[in-house]
Amino acid sequence: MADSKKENLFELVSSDYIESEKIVAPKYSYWNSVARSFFSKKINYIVLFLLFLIFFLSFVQPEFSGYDPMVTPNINKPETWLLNPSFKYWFGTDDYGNSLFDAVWAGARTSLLLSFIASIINMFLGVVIGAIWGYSKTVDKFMTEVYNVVSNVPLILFIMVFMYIVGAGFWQLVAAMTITGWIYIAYFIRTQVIIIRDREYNLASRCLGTGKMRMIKNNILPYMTSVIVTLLSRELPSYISYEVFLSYIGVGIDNRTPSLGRLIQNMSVYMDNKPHVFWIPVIVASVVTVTLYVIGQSLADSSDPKTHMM
Amino acid sequence: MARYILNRIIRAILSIFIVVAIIFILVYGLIPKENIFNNDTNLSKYTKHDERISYMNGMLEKYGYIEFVEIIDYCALKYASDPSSLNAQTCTTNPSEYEEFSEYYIKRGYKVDKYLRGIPYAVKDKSPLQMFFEWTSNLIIIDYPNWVKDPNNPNLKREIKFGTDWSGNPALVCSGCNHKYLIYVNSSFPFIHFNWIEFNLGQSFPTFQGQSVLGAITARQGEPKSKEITFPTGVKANTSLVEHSCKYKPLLSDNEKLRFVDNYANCDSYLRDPSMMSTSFIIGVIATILAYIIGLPLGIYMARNKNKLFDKIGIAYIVFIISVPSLAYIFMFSRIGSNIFNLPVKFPQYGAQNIISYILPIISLTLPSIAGLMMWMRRYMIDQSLSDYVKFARAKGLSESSIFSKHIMRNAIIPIVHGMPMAILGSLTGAIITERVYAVPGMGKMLTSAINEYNNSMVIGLAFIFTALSVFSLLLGDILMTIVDPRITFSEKER
Repeated sequence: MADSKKENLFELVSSDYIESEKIVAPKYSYWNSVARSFFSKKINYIVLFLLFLIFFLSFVQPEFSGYDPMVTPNINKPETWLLNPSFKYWFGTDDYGNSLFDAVWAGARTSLLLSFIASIINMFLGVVIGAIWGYSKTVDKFMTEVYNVVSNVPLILFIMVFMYIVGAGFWQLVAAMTITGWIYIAYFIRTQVIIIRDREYNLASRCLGTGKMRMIKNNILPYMTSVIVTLLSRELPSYISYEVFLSYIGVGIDNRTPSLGRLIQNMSVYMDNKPHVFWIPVIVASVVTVTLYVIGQSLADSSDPKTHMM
Repeated sequence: MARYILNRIIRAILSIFIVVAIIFILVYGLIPKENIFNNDTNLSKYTKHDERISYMNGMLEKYGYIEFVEIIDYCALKYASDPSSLNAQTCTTNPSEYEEFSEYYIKRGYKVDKYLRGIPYAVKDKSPLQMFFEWTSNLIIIDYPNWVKDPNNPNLKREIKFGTDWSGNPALVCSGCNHKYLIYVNSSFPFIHFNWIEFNLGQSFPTFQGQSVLGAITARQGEPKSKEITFPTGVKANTSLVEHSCKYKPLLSDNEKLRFVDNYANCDSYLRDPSMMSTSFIIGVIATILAYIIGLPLGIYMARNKNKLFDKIGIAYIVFIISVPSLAYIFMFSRIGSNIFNLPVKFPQYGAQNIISYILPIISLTLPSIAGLMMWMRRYMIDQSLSDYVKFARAKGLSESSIFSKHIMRNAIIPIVHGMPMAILGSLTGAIITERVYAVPGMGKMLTSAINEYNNSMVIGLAFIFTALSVFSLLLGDILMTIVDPRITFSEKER
């Protein structure tokens, strides 16, 4: 009885040469693993929600409010100035009677745009030039000399002197941040490329006759993704901080463009009497930068292939 | 090694000048030179068109932007051999001379224009590169006995000799130089002082008019402070004059004739408060030292207790400082300091003489730099603790604490040492936001105010100083690293 049941359970399989050559491992997809690693942490859902909220408020809200710092309909109505937060004015009003809520998000939009444009330009130039710099030895000699000169000068000095020359404004600030900003990224990428370029697995790959483009695409780029994301997570918030800093000291964005730095500077005189009009823009700027930083760091952690095997 | 350092110094100097030259070309090439009058209070005194043009061109010439010739200069040049002749007397009012003047200067590339009253003047712009070379050639000024050219004092002795100052200390005394004391000794650091060689970074305009760029940032500030001094003639008086700063003065007042035996009577006053640079330096150095004293042990402690509660709190603090704009937390520190600890928020409230004024600025600089040091120290400690020599030490049976203090820390501290000269020398450049928030009379506000007031020479002077400090502190950091870690060597032969 028992024997007959066993016979039914098992089945004779002939040996299959082709099947035995297949490797039975879970199919690995880089970006799926990044997403799985990223969403495995509960905190990332909260930060991601915060990020969407910030983007929604900064890019959709100003379209409806139509806020413009030059349009001040209540400038002659002192009863509308510096009001406390209420249902009508969620963040209260500024010193010209405009809604602070509108002003803050219009400013945040400028800051985010500035930081994204500057970061994209810097990252693009930095990665492309850095890759060439790392690969070619003649370029390396020349660029290292350039870097030695440029990196000696504090970045903030360069930005301030450049702003002095071209004057305050949005695109001027973008230009100031990108004119030398890319060289630090390029140097970092160059060092990474040099480290990876001569690793044993690349040497082996080259010996086996892998083409240059394929080497870059399959061997080097996956490594660089996590480095690039790490850099980006530091770049994005730093440009927002630079904007706030420069506009606060009066060499950043001009008065016609809404900006968090200008807003903070204009509101800093009311810090003692009406603290909320000063602290709200400061807190919003901080929330934006912290969110970008945290999400960038988690994404950088997730995009590092070493964390995928755990 | 010596050869390497020499090589580095030459390259450092070269890169400073390349940067300054680039900034020169950008600033003087792209900013309209008339902008320097935007914040000039004197310009409004000249209401007439001719007076304005004459003043503006005169100032532009004085600060090196243009070459400016008026008819009177031309006449003096033309009749230099015979200034008393009739032609020379009538030269400035003679219309045919005006024609000649125009021809003469147009040929030499000048732009000739006429005042409303009909008299011509000639103007020639200088190229930024030319201005850069003039600036560079005037960078170092050496005092010499033929400096003074005073027609009223033809019998002035021209000599340098060893002598004593008023209070009897040894000094190298000069007669005929700009300064009376070329080298002197006193009780303040660095004890031996030089007037012989001076750096000249240009003249400041329109702010700090009449002062040099370097003078404006290194001169003491505030009220004069007097004490009793015996003058060379034996007169005793309560005065704030500093004897070693005396320069040649062509005409002495009666009071000065009573006090001085020679024409070196143009002395500076001793002011109560430290200079902008020293104020920034005092605050910056104390903050840096505190940050290292607090930050490094905290970083080590975090590394030893990785992933425990203290480490997590520390990481949260580091993320806060890195990601939040510096403006936000400095204001936060100032609010906490004034509301809870009742400290003064504005530096001038108690002034530079009172220690209380320094507390909040120092704390606001220390707390952020602690975060940076904690982060790097923790990172280096953890990196080192994964290396093979640590495993070996552990396998030998060394205790954890001795592995950390004797092995890991000594290796982890090496990159930290590299940043030390930068942190200390960098404090000379001032902290922009902190000094602005607390209204500290330091260096931090100089670059911003120079930019807002179109003080070109100040912008360039500051760019030179900041670049030089940064270049040389990187060099010092490298040298310091080779001292701390004998494995690091820069000379290729020894390798």
